[in-house]
Order: sequence, then C-alpha cells, then structure tokens
Amino acid sequence: MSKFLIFLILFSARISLGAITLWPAVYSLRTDRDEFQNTQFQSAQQFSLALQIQSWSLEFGRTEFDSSSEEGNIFIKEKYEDSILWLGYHFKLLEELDLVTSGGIGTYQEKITTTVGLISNRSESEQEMLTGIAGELRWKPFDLGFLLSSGIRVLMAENFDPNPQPEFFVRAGWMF
Amino acid sequence: MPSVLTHLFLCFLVAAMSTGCQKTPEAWNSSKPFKTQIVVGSATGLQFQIVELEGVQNQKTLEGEVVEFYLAPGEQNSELVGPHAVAKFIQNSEGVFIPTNSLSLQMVSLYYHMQALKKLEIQSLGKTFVKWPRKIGLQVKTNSAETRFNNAFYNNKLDVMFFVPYVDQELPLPLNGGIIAHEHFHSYFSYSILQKSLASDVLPIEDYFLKSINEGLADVWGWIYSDNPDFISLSLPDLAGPRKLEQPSFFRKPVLKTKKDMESDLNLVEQECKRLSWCNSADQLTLGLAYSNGTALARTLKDFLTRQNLTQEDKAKKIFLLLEQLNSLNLKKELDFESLLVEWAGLFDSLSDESCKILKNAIKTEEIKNQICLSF
Ligand SMILES: [Zn+2]
Repeated sequence: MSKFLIFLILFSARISLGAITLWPAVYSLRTDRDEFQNTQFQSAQQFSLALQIQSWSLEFGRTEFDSSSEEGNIFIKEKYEDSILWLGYHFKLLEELDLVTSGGIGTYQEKITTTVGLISNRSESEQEMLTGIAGELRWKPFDLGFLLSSGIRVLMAENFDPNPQPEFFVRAGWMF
Repeated sequence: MPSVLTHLFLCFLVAAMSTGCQKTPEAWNSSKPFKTQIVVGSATGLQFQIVELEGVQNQKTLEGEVVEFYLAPGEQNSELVGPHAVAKFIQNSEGVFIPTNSLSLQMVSLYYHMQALKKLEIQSLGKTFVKWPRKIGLQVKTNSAETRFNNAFYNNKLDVMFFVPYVDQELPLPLNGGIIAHEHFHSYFSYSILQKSLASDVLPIEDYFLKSINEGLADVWGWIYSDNPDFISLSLPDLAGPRKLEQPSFFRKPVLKTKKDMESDLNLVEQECKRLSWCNSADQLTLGLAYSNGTALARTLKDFLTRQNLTQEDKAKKIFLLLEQLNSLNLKKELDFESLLVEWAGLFDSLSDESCKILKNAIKTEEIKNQICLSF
C-alpha cells in the first residue's frame, strides 16, 4: 500500500504540469447483502489522492468499512479494505462542471474477528483483485480550488456478492 | 502524455500482482473436502476447530451429501417451502473458509455435526436408515409463544429439523453438538417407530409413553455423541437442573413410572386442563411430563452404559437395539419403562455389579426387580 503512495508522490513531483487533488471528505455507500439476503448499505470511510494532467487523471483511493453479526454468544466482526487506482478522462460539460469517467484496478482484503464466549480468533483473506468503472459529475465553483462531486462506481471481483457491487458517493476536495 | 500514464498504470498492475496475487490458496471445487473453521463446545468449554466437510457441492448454500439448509422456511400443502440459506466466507492463506457471519458459522457447524452423526450411524449399524441429505431450517418463525425463541425441534411429518432464533447470551443451539444429536435422534425414532404401524391409532397413554421414550433416548443420544452429560446447559443453562444426565444425588432414586403412574398422570393432567383457561387440550401439558419421564429414563440409561465401559460406537449400537426392541413391542400389553429396561439389559452379554445396582435402583416393582441380575 505505502509503495503505491510513495510511487504516486515521486511521480507527481516529476510532472510539473499536473495538479494534485485531495479528497478528504467522502460520503460513500456500498451495497451488499446481509445474512438474510436482504440488500444492505454500508457506509464506508474513504480517502483519495489524484493527479490530473490536462484531461487525464490518475487517482488512488482507499476505502474501509466494518460490519458485524451476532447471535447468542457469537460475535463476528468483518473489516473490509480496498485500494484502487483509477484512470479517468474528464469531459468538460460546462465552464465549472466536468464529467469524469474512469476505469480502476486494485486489491481488497477482508479481516474477520470471531468471538464466541471468551474465545476469539482473527483471520484474513489474501489480497484479491478487483476492477471497477465509475462515472462522476464534478463541480469547480469560481476556480477557488474547491471541488464538489458525486457519482457512482461499479466494482467487480470474483468473490463479491452481489457481483458487480454498486457504490454511491458524494465528496468534497481541494485541488492544489 | 498518455504514454506516461500508461506506464504508470502498468506499474500499478505489476505492483498489484506482486503484492496481492502471490501465494493464492488453492481454489476449491466440489471434488475436494471443504476446509472450514467451527466452534465446538464441550464440558471443558468452547474452542475453535478446523474441520473438513465432505460432499459439499455448493460453496454458497453448502448443499451436498449431508445437509440441505433452508432460511426461515414455512409449510405449504405438507411440503417445506422457502429459500436456501446462503453462507459467506473468506478464504485464508491456508485455504480454510472462515465464516463471515453468524448464520454461516451455524451452517458449517451443523454440517460438521450431521456428518459426524451420519458416520456414527453407519459405523454402528453398517448402514443408514434415514434419508440424506437431511433438511434443516434455520431462523424459523413459529406462532407459538413457547417455541418462538431458543428452541429446536424435529417435525416428523416434514422430516425436517428446525432451529428458531436464539436470543439468550450462551452458545446458539445450531452450534451445540449435543442438541443437534438430540434433534437428529428424533428422526431415527420417527423412521423406526412413529412411521410404523405401532404408532397408528395410539391411545393417549401410549402416545405419552412413546413421547417420554423419544425425549429420553434423544437426550441419551446427545450425551453419547457429545460425551457431555450436561450438553443442554451450554445453550440453555436454566434447563441444567431438570435435564442434566447426572443423577442429582445417589440417594435420590430415578423413578421410572409404571403403567399405573402414567394413567394417574393423565387423569391429573385432564383435570388440570379443565381448570386452566388457556389449556385447549391435555396434550399441551403431557409434553412437560414426558420430558421429566424421559430424563429419568435417560439418567438410568446413561449411568448403566457408563458402568458397562463401552465405546461410543458400542453405546450407539445398544441404543439402535433398544429401538428395534421397542418396535417389536406390543403397546397394548407391555407399556412400562421398567420391563422395557429389563428386556434391553438382557441384550448385554454380561452386566457389571455397578450396572445391576443402577437397574435395581431405578425399578420399584418388586416382581420386575427380582427378574434382573439374579446373582447380585
Ligand atoms: Zn426432543
């Protein structure tokens, strides 16, 4: 993971033409299924950093969310984490409004902590491959550097249920 | 510029491959055992255990040779209806499937215990006489207030084992091997006794007698399988006193009821039911009594089998013989626990002094008492 960040930072330093965007405030909803096969929304913590060069952008995003399930003295906590690199193309719709379409590739990992009564056990999956496509509307009011955007991503991985898995997001960022 | 980006993208791909896709566990397919992690409870506590489930055909529903799981099923035209339960796992680097929610943990635990019970049946009988895969309903909703939570039951009409939601703070019933074995035993009783002519047109007293034996033997089966005489209290601690298969104390004799005792039970129950506004039929009250008769029988059998120093498989064999013997019983003539027990004890090659003492303690009818262990 840190490997990617260092790589991005070094690379961005070499490109003087590019602009860096930081997205610290993201509200994201992932959809998946609960034990009873009902669709449930998982609100996720997300952070991303992007490098934009003309109409192209390269964005690194990290997402985490927890869910849990219990019955009697069983308590199972699931932690999901993914890191995705998105390659996007920006279409200018209006002076202050862009449509960004992207394709992404990354890895995800799930960590399970099972507690039954007084005993507890931790397991994790391997890093598994994940791909995605995304569409996003981005508003840059008055060229202040401040950005607001909203969009949908569709993520795909062999073991996702459902697969593909949609995600809705709204976010605020700053372009340097 | 795009070429720089392509380069960057490819670098990421290589990085993703090198960190993420190394050492992938071997993919599972239905010809391989399904390695998973369950929780087992014993007299000494709970522990995690890595086990292999055999004959699993589907990684999501765990459909296979042993169990078919249904989620909150119902009954329609005497058929079980409802969706299959779906499990979710992560696979760790050793290729073990770890359940990611409580329902999935219940499914793998149940599969494992049912697989072990099937093996025990085949080892001791050389065959199996119930239909496999067994049908199991999880998170079942019932209308009755007494069985809505913290309960498991076997429906002999549908031939399905049901688990309702567990809302206590102990081990959920689908993880309790002893309770699973208890419920599974009811299917043996149903196939060998209730579905036979023996159980047709039974009088209330015969029904009461059969219910008591069914519950008692099911508890013995739960003990034989789990090797824990107090398996019930892992999940239902309030039932430890009335159901535990240890004799409460040696001077308090287990009382096996005679036919006369059972008749007077039924008369009392009849009167009591008339007095209680909520009682629609005396049957509602006899089940509680059947459990207590069953426990008295189970405690005697458990003590007796322990003193005979048998292996798990041999204990199981003797219980199957008891079922066979019960099947050839003429309920109209022989209807008491004492004679049944004496006849069954006759199937053993030899009886230890200890086992004789247990039988004599349990039997109060002098003539019957005199028939056993003549040398003792
Ligand atoms: Zn029962």
